[in-house]
Amino acid sequence: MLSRQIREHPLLGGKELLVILLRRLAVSIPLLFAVSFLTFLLVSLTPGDAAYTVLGSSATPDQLAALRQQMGLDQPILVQYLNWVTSALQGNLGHSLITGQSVSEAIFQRLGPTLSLVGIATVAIVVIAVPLGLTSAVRGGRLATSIDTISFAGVAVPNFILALFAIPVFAVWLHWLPPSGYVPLASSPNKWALSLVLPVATLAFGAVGIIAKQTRAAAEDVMSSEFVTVQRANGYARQSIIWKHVLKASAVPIIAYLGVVIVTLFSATVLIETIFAIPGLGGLAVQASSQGDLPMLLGVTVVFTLIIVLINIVLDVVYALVNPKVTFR
Amino acid sequence: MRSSFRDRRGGVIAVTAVIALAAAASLSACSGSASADSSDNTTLTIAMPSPPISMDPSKSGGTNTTFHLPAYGTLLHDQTLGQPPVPSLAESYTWLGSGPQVTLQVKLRSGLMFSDGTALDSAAVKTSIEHFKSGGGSFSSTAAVIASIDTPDPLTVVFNLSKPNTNFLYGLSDGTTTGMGEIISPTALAGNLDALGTTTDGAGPYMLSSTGTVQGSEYHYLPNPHYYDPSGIKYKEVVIKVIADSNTALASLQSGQIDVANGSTDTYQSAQSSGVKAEVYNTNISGLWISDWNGKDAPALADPRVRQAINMAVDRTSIANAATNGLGKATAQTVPVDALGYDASLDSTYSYDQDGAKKLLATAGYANGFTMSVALPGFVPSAVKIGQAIAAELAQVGITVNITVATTFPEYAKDGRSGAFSAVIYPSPGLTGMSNSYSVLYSPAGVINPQAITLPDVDASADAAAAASTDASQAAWAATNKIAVDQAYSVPITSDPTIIFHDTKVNNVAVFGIINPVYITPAS
Repeated sequence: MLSRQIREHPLLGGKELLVILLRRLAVSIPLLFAVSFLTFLLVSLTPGDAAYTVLGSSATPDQLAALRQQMGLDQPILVQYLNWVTSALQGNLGHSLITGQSVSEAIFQRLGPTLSLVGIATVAIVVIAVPLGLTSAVRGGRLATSIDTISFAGVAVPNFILALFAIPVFAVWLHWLPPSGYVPLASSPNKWALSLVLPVATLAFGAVGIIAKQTRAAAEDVMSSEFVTVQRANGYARQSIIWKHVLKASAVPIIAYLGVVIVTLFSATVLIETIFAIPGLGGLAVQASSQGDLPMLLGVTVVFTLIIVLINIVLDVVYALVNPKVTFR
Repeated sequence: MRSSFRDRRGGVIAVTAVIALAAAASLSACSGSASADSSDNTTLTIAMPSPPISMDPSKSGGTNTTFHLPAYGTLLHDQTLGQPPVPSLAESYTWLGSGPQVTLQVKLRSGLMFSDGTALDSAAVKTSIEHFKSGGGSFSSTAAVIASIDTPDPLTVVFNLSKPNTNFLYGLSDGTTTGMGEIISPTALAGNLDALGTTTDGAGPYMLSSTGTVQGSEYHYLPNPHYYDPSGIKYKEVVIKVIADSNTALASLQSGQIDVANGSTDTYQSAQSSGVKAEVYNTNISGLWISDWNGKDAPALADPRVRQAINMAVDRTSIANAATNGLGKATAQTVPVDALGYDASLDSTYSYDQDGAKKLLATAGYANGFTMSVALPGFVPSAVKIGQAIAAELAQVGITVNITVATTFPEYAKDGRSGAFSAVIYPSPGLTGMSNSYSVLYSPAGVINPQAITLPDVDASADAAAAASTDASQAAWAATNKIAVDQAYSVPITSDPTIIFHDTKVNNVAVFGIINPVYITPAS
């Protein structure tokens, strides 16, 4: 279905899609350099470095100098950055300055939990928020007010407060769900799903309200347009009007908001992964940052940037699918 | 316009909720209890608040030695606070000669082997400790006192020290967490040293498994097939999880997901009320650690009367209660109760008397007060509480405390070593006895003496105490303690409780507040 739509789409059919994707990827290359250089610069300017992490408070100047030389931290910042870029372009993201672990290996180990968390949260948000928003647009009244309240609460209540409530109730009191940790999908699909319920619920709660509210606003706009009146006058089935035509016409602003929400979900994983002790990229970023572990932090930053770029490309394509008027210039 | 769409009752929200709950319930049913994968009697699961800096014992240490101990064990083992350690991987030890204790002979157990199958003999001990000494880890200076190591036979190691050093013995043990007594295989040391950062090769009962281990987050250990005492391996698997949030750690324990966790003073009451076992170890001291005894940053601090006035101006009991939720004990000395050199009478040296403090400051020529700078780690909540409380108290007697808050450990370490501050605040810098207090706070090589200032009175007393016989050691170190307190070289505030939570399935969870999986046993 989707592939047919892409094939028959005036803009996305044939080679043009490939050209668009390549152009988008090309634009993202300067972005990757900018983000990695800024990260490098900011960490380098922070007082203290990885040598202090390893040697601790008892470090003598001689020990510090020797270790910095070994780590390459004694070279000018620009040289250090160029060295990193050269090796990154060859596919080598380097090793942790603290443990010596390969950065690629560490990222690979932690990619699954973070993608599971954000991926399932995104699906949950769409599956819950869009029908909720559409229904409230159709029914109005108390449901609309409830969504406004949930939306407001979602924005106002920080994730960690929700976690403080959810963990004692669902993990300690009811014993339904584990309060911490992550089980890989390959080890046990059931336990994988269970380990994600609380973190995903905490992560998605606020966004559900926001997307539901946006869906309602967009759907209300569409429902007041002339083509809906004409369809109703022509006796189109009510369900068909709502789920086929109104939803499709409302999709553009919903997708736009969803794009922003997914990016914020990645930021929120930093805290959620810490609270629920999930071995994800967010936790790795926090740990690398607090230890001054530059190669590890750069690796995580680049991967996060790449993920965000890819998500935006996918959303652009979906945009074009639902709205042929969208152009890529 | 909308009204015509509202005639049908579309309970989408209800349907969605029902689907979600049904899915969760079916998953729960499929996997049994949510905590089914947690602690049975064959798996020991521990939660620690932060990961080790490295899995290489020579590069790491502190409380994070819990991650190394299952795989490496230690030559000696601490059992009783204030008493010498007992043998562990070692079979026995003795100080040779009748004079000052400078020659330590350690006899190894026969049949010790590393997890790679290499024999743990005297040569291996020598190689490992020389690696520790030159490895540049944060505790490597504790080995500086070793002049040479002899290996007269495969089971005998002789340490020749350059001078008497009480801490050396504890350095080979598990209660002081330097990592020196954790012996690394010579095979590993001859190979890629970087690999030691993420793997283990020791002679402890377990070894790190790559299956399930995610560095920085979760560490899985399996039995070491070459361990000298198979009956000492009590679990089929040991798992150490990093759970930074103390509430999550407690919830994980309450739900049966873990067996042992480092607790916090904030969660102590709720743990107690929920039936979780809680052990409190007051084996460390927190306070304001002055290092500007020559008055480089604040000239006033060179005057002992000023330092004594500071000790009189702080309400230790209130600060102790606020910073430790009542679990710590206010103290005026740097030595925990019952530890080496403890003297109960010293706690009454400085009673809370701000008027008296003002008079003493006036006598010293600082009636209008003065300004001092203090560095503290913002990532340690109790340090922030103590710092703010001390600053508020000293402001009452005219002393302005400018606090610099470091947000990361490297930043704090840089501040601490800069020598630009009059004092630092750091809870539990390893003050587990006066010999430790001396080496950390007052020795010219001390971590908290960045200007490497010599304090002749304390140095002379500490040298004498280190040279004292085992029987005379307590009194000798108490004398050093008294000098430090009388001269007000620092401002001890409170014992800093280390709290361990555990369930009823385990025994022997900790040594001086350090969780040591080697000695943890199933309760039944």
